[in-house]
Amino acid sequence: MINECSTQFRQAKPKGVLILLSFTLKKRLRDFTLELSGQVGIETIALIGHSGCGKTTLLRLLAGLDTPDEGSISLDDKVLFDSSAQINDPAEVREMGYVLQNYALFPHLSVLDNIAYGIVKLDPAEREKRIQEAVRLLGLQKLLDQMPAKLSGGEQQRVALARALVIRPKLLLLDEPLSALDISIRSRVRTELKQLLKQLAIPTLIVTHDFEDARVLADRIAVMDRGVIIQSGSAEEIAQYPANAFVAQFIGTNLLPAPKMDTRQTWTAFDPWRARVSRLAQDSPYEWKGQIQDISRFGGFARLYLTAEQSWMVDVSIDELDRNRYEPGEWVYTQVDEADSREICSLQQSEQSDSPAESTSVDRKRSGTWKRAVVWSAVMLAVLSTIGTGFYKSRVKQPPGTSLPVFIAANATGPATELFALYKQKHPGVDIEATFAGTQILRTQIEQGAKVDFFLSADLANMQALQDKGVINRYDLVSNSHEVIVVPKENSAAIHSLQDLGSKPVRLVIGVDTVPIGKYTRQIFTNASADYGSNFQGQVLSHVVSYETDVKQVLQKVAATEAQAGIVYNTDVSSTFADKVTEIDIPDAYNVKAANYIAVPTNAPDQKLALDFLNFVQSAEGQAVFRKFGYDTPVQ
Amino acid sequence: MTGSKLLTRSLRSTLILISIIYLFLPLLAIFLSQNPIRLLASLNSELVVKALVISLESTFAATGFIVGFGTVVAYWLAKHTFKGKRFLEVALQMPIVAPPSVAGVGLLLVFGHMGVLGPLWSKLGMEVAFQFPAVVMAQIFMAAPFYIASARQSFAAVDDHYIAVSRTLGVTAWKTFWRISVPLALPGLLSGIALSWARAMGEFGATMMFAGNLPGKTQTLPLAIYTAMEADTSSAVAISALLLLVSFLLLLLVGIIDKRMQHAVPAS
Repeated sequence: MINECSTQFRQAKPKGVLILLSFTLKKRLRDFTLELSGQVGIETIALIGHSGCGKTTLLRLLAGLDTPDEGSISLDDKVLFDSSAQINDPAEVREMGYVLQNYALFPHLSVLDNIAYGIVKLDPAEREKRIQEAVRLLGLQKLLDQMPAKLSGGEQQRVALARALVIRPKLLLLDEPLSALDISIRSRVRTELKQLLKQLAIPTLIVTHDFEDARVLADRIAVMDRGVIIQSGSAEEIAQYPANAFVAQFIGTNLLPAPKMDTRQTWTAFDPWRARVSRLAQDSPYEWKGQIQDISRFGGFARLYLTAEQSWMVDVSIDELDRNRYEPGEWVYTQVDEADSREICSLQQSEQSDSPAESTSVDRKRSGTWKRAVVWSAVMLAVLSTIGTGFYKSRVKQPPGTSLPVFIAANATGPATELFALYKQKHPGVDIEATFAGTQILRTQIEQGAKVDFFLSADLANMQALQDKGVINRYDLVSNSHEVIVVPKENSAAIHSLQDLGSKPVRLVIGVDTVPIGKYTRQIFTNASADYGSNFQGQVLSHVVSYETDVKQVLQKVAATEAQAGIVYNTDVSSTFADKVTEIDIPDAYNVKAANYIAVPTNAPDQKLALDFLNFVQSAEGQAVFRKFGYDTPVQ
Repeated sequence: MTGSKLLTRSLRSTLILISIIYLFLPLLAIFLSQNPIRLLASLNSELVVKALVISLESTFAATGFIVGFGTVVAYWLAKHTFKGKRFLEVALQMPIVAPPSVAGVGLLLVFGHMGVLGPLWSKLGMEVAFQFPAVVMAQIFMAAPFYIASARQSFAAVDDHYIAVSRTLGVTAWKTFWRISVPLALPGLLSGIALSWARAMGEFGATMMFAGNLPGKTQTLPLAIYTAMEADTSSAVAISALLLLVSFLLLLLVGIIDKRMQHAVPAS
């Protein structure tokens, strides 16, 4: 029996070699804290552990891609990081070759450009020399013009190594260098890599989850779990004396409580191929009972996976398996000779003790997510129900009735809206569908066949054009308005008359000359030029900062005080604008009357209703509405 | 071929055909509705030429600013995580859904004569609103989100491993950005540029509100179209045809550049 209760698992120093890299690092991660220290000479160290144990993070911290919370890193007598001295060299000056699991060859560069990537600044001769060296070392001569996407996994790995080696790194970091490769080429590449590392003779850290990779490539192995190194040593030491069940499982050996001993701290390690299985208890001191979970056959032997409180494996020959006809689900005894068992006293706890903490933190996270989800759904529900009720009400309110589509020039929005309300009081079944827009746009739509019952135009020209095309038979004058100057309440340009628009500097906005208000405005300037001097019109127009396509735009810009004056219809200065702008009259002698005309198109869907509405607009009641909004009306 | 396969195929063809016709025909109709000679004649006016020049100048300027500032923002959003990032990302998209005239009002409230920065302008003796810079600013405001969104996505798609490896090879973060991130994100950056340029070219509401409509100074093609619409529909159609043609040619150019670049960067 071999009894070695070793306490020197964590031997920190390599024996008899010069220390090149030393580090002490602490970094808080999401689920645990990474706490590592180590010293590395010219040798290859493999870090093994499950994914997520922090081994890749260690490489990133060393390379300068992540920053440790505390600690120090020094390489070749140069301090690269020291939290207490506030030293933190960036990754680009650390001179470490970092090869990633997926090799990360730059997809837009050829193999040659990938290799030369880090040394473009060197002088051409030196650059060429280093590239040739790396290419020869890794056998890449035939691949230099290829793009990375065309390479096999093994070729990609060699290119990635060449790219890292040309910068002459002082430390090589390899993250899962073999896991991206097919099983078929893996062992060949592994052997090649081992030879290469031997030739290079620079400190190398390899991260892997495969014990076999670590065993072949590394001089020393460190087993990592949840941010700490559980055990380190040579491959043989670790295989012989796994520090706990986690390590044992990792390296493919068994670790079970020694059953016949008094102290509960004592455990027994043994290899699957040293153990036997039988259906009967043999009263051996090293005997465990377990249930067969699974049987897998490998050529001449079969491996039984057994479970009781622990799990373990036993290899039996195929002959024995067939003779005894073991089946999954069966309970059997496992024995091992005293000579083949290794006793381990203090078992280090690792993931078992930590897992409850982890699960609670996950639970807490979940309950947080739940709370947020509940609040969000409540908010969404409230919003949806508000919108929904509004929508429902709007739907319910509409009684099925006759619809009356009308087109109204935008400047008549005020009186038109009131007319609709009055008309609907008298004819509750009628549903007026009004479109408000510029006269020219409405006219185009009518010409293109829009079906409307009623059209109110802001000028004569557009009505006449429609009549010429035969779209309407007749039209009537319904109301007149005139132009006024509007200025913001504070009147910063001190405009008090039409003449001021020409003589004082002012930011003026008027209608563009193709819309009615623009035409009338120019007419006014021309009229006034007779008295104010022939250059009046030119002076006024030089003050214009914007030509607007409708009256509302002019008013809004004045109301927003962006413009200092504008010219609009008196009827447009509604109550919403009245407290923001001041009206200044234009002398009657120069003013131009703006007229609104109404008509029923010949293709109106409901002629009878349309004429009824037209008559209502022309009635005393309808005309009163226009006067209320400041219009002059032909029928008083 | 089985019956059901034939049915699926013909259904697919029909759907594709309907989509193409629906998206294409109205624009084609603009070209076909006018006698080509009249079309050219109505384009041969000083106003239209000026509007075209202003449109091209302002959209190139706007696109330049968008790329300059937007690339930094997009890269930052793509490669950093921080609290409230999701919120910020959504907020940066708001100009896409905001009605353009509302955006114009917002710009006036900040940059107008009476806006927050109004006193600054008067002190400097500068004017922004109703001037050419306002056209560019309105376009930047409305179009930048398209570039930022596209650039952010394509930067996010650049594997961090490439950047990490580049740094360890002795290349600084700034140079890595130019040697790795930009070449790999280029197709997305170009389509972002095309999208935002097209949006700037068609920008109307915010420009109208913030820059006004002054021929030869702030009147871009869309504003010219709108103004012409109020007077003479056929000349509006002619300018629209011009706008569509110019946009088509520029988008085609970007497409060709994109194709070239794709050729240079094979998918990994």
